[in-house]
Amino acid sequence: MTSKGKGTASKPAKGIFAAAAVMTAVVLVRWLGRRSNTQVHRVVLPPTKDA
Amino acid sequence: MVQAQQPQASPPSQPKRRRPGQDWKAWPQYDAAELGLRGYWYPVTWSSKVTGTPQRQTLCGEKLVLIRDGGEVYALADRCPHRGVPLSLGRQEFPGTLTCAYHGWTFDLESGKLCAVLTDGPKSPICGKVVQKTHPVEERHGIVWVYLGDGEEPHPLDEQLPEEWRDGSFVLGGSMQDRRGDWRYACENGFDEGHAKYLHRTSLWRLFRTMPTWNITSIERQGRWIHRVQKEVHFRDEHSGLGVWTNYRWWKKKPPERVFNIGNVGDLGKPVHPVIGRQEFPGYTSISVPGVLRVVYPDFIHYEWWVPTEPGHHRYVGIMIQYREGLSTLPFYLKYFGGIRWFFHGQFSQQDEWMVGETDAPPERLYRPDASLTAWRKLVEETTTTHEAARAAKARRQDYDV
Ligand code: FES
Ligand SMILES: [Fe+2]
Repeated sequence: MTSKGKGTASKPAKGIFAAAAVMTAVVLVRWLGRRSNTQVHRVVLPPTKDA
Repeated sequence: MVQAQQPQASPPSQPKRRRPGQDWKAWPQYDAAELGLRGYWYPVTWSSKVTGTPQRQTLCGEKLVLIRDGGEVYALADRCPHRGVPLSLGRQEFPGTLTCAYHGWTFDLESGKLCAVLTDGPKSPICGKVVQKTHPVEERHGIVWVYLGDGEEPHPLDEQLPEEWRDGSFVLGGSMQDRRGDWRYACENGFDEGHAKYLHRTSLWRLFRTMPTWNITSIERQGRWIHRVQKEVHFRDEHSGLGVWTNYRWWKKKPPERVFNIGNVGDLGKPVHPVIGRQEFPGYTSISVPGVLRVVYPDFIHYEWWVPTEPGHHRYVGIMIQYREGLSTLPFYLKYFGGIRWFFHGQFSQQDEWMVGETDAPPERLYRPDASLTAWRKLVEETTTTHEAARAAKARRQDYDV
């Protein structure tokens, strides 16, 4: 993507960049995780009485 | 004690005295437990890794086949009783069963019963007469736990998970790695008081933190765990005639001034998370059977399970948790994948892996900080109720070698 030499990208272009960056990060993390037998999970407990 | 005499026996003047440290006879259960302690739940793999395709796992010297069916995970002995082919080479022909790749013996996953023999017709007389060994399985926190026992009713998995896991929601990141070295060396390394100050001095995980040089500690029991409790922490020592030795460097944070029992470099002014605070851990490092370590930091807790697999090998299961909920868990994903996995569950832990793989004991000559090692061995002795378990493991080790 070029921004016509002004250093500013149009709104939709920015959105596409951001989405691509997020997608790349997600794919990379998943790939790294699978390769290194690594995972991250959330463990949500039922609410306790004293909370 | 009686010892087999070598041909070039020493002069028969005095009976030979056994030097302390020559063997592990003082801890007979521990000594015999080369393939692990039986009667416990072990983390075996990630839940997401178990599918309808059978997979082989080795736990405490036993080969198991794991398969998922109808959402549940099942574990059976991997050796087909017919001709000894691994069942993990087989496939699923009917729901709720697993069929051996060779002659089509088909086992019920729940009971292990031989329920069909595809190459002997629907009326095969051997059906129902053969039962394959099964193992209890639970899935918890994204991990598959297998109970390795001898047919007894297992205790609830919860009794064996860290108590603080029931005290709040958290986010968990972990890595499972097959490693060289007896699982007992890995446990001893984990609870070893001395090594971190020297071996890990070069770890990137501690790049900006000053490790102590030596401590005075005591061992305290709290429930199922024994803790290393620091009484004195030293950071700079004058070794007479040799010089000064310290882990302090100009780029590292100044060591805390008071004795600490949180994290291996102190809390450095960080507030302690309330869930962690209310556990009232007496020390920051604790260990419990069947081989799990807990290291407490102000805002997260690190665990290591060392799961016995084959003789001289174990599986490292490194877990880091942080008490967070909802969106506030997101930074943890970044922290774990961006740092912890590579620096802590990576390079730092690989320094341990290196030493565990090289350890060769007994014989051994222990020094003062090794009180932590002997306390751990004693804990195993106290909690292993019968020699039978250890003997069974030894017998199985012989099977294994054949
Ligand atoms: S070896 Fe398994 S069916 Fe023959
Ligand atoms: Fe270590």
